Order: sequence, then C-alpha cells, then structure tokens
Amino acid sequence: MEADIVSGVWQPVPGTSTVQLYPFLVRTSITSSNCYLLSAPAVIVVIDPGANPQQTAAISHVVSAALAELKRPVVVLLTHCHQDHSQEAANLTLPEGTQSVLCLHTVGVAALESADRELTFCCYYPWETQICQVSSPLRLFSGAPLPTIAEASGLSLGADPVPLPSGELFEREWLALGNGERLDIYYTPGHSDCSVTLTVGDLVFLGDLPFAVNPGMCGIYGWDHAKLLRSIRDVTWLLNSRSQSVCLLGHGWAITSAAMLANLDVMAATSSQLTDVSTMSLERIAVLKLHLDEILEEASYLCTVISGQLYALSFMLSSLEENAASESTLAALDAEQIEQNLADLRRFILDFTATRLPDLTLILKGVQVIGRLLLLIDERALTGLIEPSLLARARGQFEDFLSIARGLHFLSADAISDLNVVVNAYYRRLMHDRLAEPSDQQMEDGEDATTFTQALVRQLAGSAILHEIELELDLTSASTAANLGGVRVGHILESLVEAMVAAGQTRLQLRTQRDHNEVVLRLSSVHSINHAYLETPRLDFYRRTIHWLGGRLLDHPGHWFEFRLPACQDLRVHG
Amino acid sequence: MLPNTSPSLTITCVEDEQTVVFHAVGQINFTTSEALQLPLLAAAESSLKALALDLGEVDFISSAGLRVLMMAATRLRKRNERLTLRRVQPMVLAVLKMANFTRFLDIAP
Repeated sequence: MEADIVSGVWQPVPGTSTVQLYPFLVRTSITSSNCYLLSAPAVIVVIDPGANPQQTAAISHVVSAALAELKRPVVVLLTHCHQDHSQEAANLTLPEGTQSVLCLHTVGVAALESADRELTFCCYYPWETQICQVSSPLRLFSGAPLPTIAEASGLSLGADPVPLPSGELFEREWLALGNGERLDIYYTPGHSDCSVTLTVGDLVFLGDLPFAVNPGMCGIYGWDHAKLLRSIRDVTWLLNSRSQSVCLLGHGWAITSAAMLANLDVMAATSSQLTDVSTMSLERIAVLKLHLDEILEEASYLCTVISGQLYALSFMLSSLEENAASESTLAALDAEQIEQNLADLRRFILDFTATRLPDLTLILKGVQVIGRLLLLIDERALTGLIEPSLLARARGQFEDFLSIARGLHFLSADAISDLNVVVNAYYRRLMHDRLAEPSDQQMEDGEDATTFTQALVRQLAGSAILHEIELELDLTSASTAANLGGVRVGHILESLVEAMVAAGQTRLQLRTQRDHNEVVLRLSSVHSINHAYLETPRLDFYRRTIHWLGGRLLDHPGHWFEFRLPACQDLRVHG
Repeated sequence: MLPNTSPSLTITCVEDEQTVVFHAVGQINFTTSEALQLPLLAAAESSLKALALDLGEVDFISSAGLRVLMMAATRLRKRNERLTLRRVQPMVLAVLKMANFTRFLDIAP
C-alpha cells in the first residue's frame, strides 16, 4: 500500500518536531534513484542524490534556499555506492562557505575511491561513467574518527549497536540532527556490501534492499545471499519494533511499513531458495537477452493457443445455444491484457537497440512482463476449460525465465528421473486420458442443466488435433535415468509433438536408447514434410533449455527431433 | 534479437459473383487486427455472398487475430455460412489447429 508522501514539497517528518522532508520521487529506472532531503536544525541531509544532472540542479536549488534561511552543514548520505544513487554526490552546487561532507559505509567509500566499476554498478552501463570523486568522506561503520571537515562543521556521529532477540548485535550508528533528533543508520548489506537503512522519526529509508531478490537484481556484483538473509531478518525486526512507519525506497513510491513487512516475508521465503546464484555478469546478461527473444516467441505462441482455445470453445458453446457458458468461457482469461503485455514487450525489444539504456533494463522489462503473464493466466479460472498440461507448460516456462534471471540453475538432484517412465506417462495421457472425456451416456445422464453444460464443456475443451495421433513407443530396456530438469524435458516433448501434429504428421514414433553415456529420446514422424516444424526462436528456446540440463536437442527439419541427455548411473545415488 | 518484423497489415478486397475475398499482407496482431476486423465483419454482416480470407502472405497471427476470425465466424453462422481461409502458411495453420479453429473454419488451398 502506498504511503502519503508528496514529491517535490517540504513536509514534516512524522514523529519529529523539527525535521522536514523533501522527496524527489522519479520514474523508476536503474540509471537514477529517488533522492530525499532532510532539513533539521543542525544539518541538511541529502540522501542519495542520484545520477541525473537536472535533478542535481533541482536539489542544489532547494538546498540552497533552505541554507539561505538557516546556514548549516550539508551531509550527502548514500544508502549504498551504486552509480544510480551516487553519481551526483559531489556535484551539488551550494552557497559559498557551505560545509559539505560525503557519508557512506566504509566498504562503499573503498569502492568509490578505487573506481570499482563492478561494485559501483557502472559495469552494467553501456557508456563511460564518471564515478563520484571522494574527498575526506565520512566512513560509516569503520570506527574511524570524524574527518576534519566534519568535525569542523560541528557534526556529531556516534555508534550504539542494538541487541537483537537472537543475542546478535544489529550494527547502528547515528548522526545528530539537532534539538535532540537523530538519524539512525543501520548496516543492512546484501543488495550491496555497503547498504545501509536509515530511520528518522517515523520514516525508514531502505535504499534498494526491497529489490534485492528480484529477478535481474539477484547476483549483481556485491550481492551476498547470507548477508541479505540476515538483513531481511534484521529490517523485519526493526519495522516490527517501531510504531507504524513509512518506508521510502531507492526507486518507486513510498509504502507503509505493513506493506513492507508483507514484502519482506515474501523476500525471506524467496531468498531462502537463492543459495546458489550465478553472478550477473555481462556474459550472463547477453545470454538472457537472447533468451528473452525466445521466451517472447514461446509465450506468444502459448498465450495465443490458450486464448484461441477459449475463443473456439466459446464459439462452439454459443453454437449450441449455451450462451451463459459461452460468455463465462470468454471471461476466464483477459486475453486482451495478455496480448497488450506481449505487444508492449515486443515493441520495447524492437525499440531498445535505438536507445542507450543498459541491457539489464531489457532483462528487467522481460521479468516485469513475464511476471504479469503469470498473474494473468489464472489456472483456477481456467480449470476444465484448458488442458492442465498446457497451463502447466506455460507456467513452468514463465517461472523458468524468472528463475534464470535470478541466476538459478536447472541442475539439481531432484531433477533426475527415468526417461522411460516420463515417456510412458506422456503416452498414457495422450492415448488414454483423452478417453476421460464424458461419454455419450454420461452426457445423457447429466442430472441437471449445469451438469450437462459442464460435461459439454469437457467434451469440447482441449486440443482436438491431438486426438488424431497414432503414437508408437519403442523403449530401451537399458537404464534411462537422466537429468530431465523435473518436468522440463516432458514439457518440451509435448511442444514438439504438438508442432508435428499441427504440421499434419499424425503417425509418430518415440524411441529411447542408451548411447554410451547418453540417454537418447528420438521423436520422429513416419512421413516427412519439407519445412521446419517450429519457428527458429522457439526451437532455440528448447535447445537452450536442454543445453542448461547438460544435454543437446538435435533436429532434422521436417523429420525428427532427438534429445541427448547425460546418463545418470543410479536414480537413488543422484536423486 | 528478433527478426525484422513489420507491424503493418494491409487488407485488400476482391469480389466476384459468389464470393468476397479479403487478402491480408503482414501480421495480424494486437495493433493491426482492427484493420482486418472492420471490413471483415462488415462484409460478414452485410454481404450475402460467401466470405473468404486469403492468408497466403500472413506469417503471424495472435489471439487478437483469432478473436476477429471468431467474430466473423459468429456473424456468418447466423446465415449458415462458414468463413474460409485460403493459402494459410504452415506456422499460422499450426496455431489455428492447436486453438481448435479448424473445427469451425474451412481451410482451402
């Protein structure tokens, strides 16, 4: 829930008698952050000036006007050293004679002093970045004495770690604001190693901590899983230990502490699974860019088929004068919203090359759209209207994209299973479960209109062309234990079968075999066609998934597909 | 990155004594489907002739395009007619089949 904070005006800081807040809430991006000014009797604090020179001019103007009313030192305080927060830290234009000091965690000071492009986030920008020049900074959490300039300004800083219920200490320092008010600074690493959380009155400044588990943000340089888990726990304690607070973020609108606590719960649950995250290197971003094109085509196909099946079902129901069922079928999915999101992403990708935005922006856009698709495809609403396997495939592939953007891997012990078992299960479902459709007798036995309509819907729903398949199985007796990535190989197999049947190939063969250290699954058609079964991006999407499982997906366009997966010796040992 | 795709869709119409044939060139998607929807539905409602849509130069159809086809089929059903799709490209045909549209649309060479 958004909190009542107005951008661009001075407003009292709740819970204090003399401190004022002036927020600069800007459009969310990874190139420049929000900025917050605090005006207190003893000092003006500029929290995260950001990286937009126009914003810097506005900040300078507001601060200068405040200094004209009451001359005070200015502290530029960074929640962390990332370029989108820090670039302009030394660029404020202040009245002559103003004492100004830069203040951030000592680890961040070191990153700025050494112009570390990775720890300052600069490596993700496609332009030459000017890292903030540090001069006599105030090093938080270093135990070092105040720099001369700060001392001369009459600034007062102290340390008083807070004992937590666990017995551990929550590192805290404070800056005196005058009139007995103080700005508390807590060490909350994880998003970066120099991240801090600030509190004054009823306000909590969280920097970018709330985004630390988001796909695309996990694994950035300086990200640390263990420290993040602890910071989430500590900030949860901090918010719970205070009266109702307002949380101000590095990007986006302010939210209530209740909403932030709910968010932290989700973050804690999510981050507990992020034990083995790959670094978000430029190489990984390049792969993610390619994968985004592929997932867009796959998502576009799946969403078109799902929407189309609902349109077709609605049409057929209305043909049978089942108008209420026809309308409720259409209402089960907001196809227009889904397509709008896909069109938005497609346009963003096409326009992207003309921009100078960081590639990471593209990944974050993809994450945003795929996340929305996951919400829009409501499996409960679609139960009975769309085959569960089709919905599971869409959900699985969308979730995979988000996992990959988080830097997670497909390879895990529980991803190993027996290929023959998977193929057999698919065969049974394809060839026999379709008989689970209601029989004519069941249709006649429908006790009332509702039961009859439900049976009718079941009969009309699903992919009719899959009923035309003649599938032959030829399974090896050798062990076919392999890393199938959980359900991933099964999902890709379903997609390939669909593509072949849709191309008019209804007589198919599935054959498994062992070839040295590989388990092989070949899907072939009795006859061949003279064009590929799939568009290149979708096939590349499947190839990449199998590659991430350590295997290969080969194809002879118009003839066959072949999965080659590294064999596992024993399911028990590996699983 | 994505192949070069033109977001445009061009619709032309040819009519003989028995059939109104719309010829589509481009992609039928969220931003272009209205260009097809307006003339196709008008013809489905006002003409007494058979209605056909030539998709020989359409390489992509999205759910918005399918929706237009369903709306046209619904209007034609009122006069016991079916929409005929001509020269459907393989990838578009695959989508139509998977979406069950071939159950109520006629596919012609």
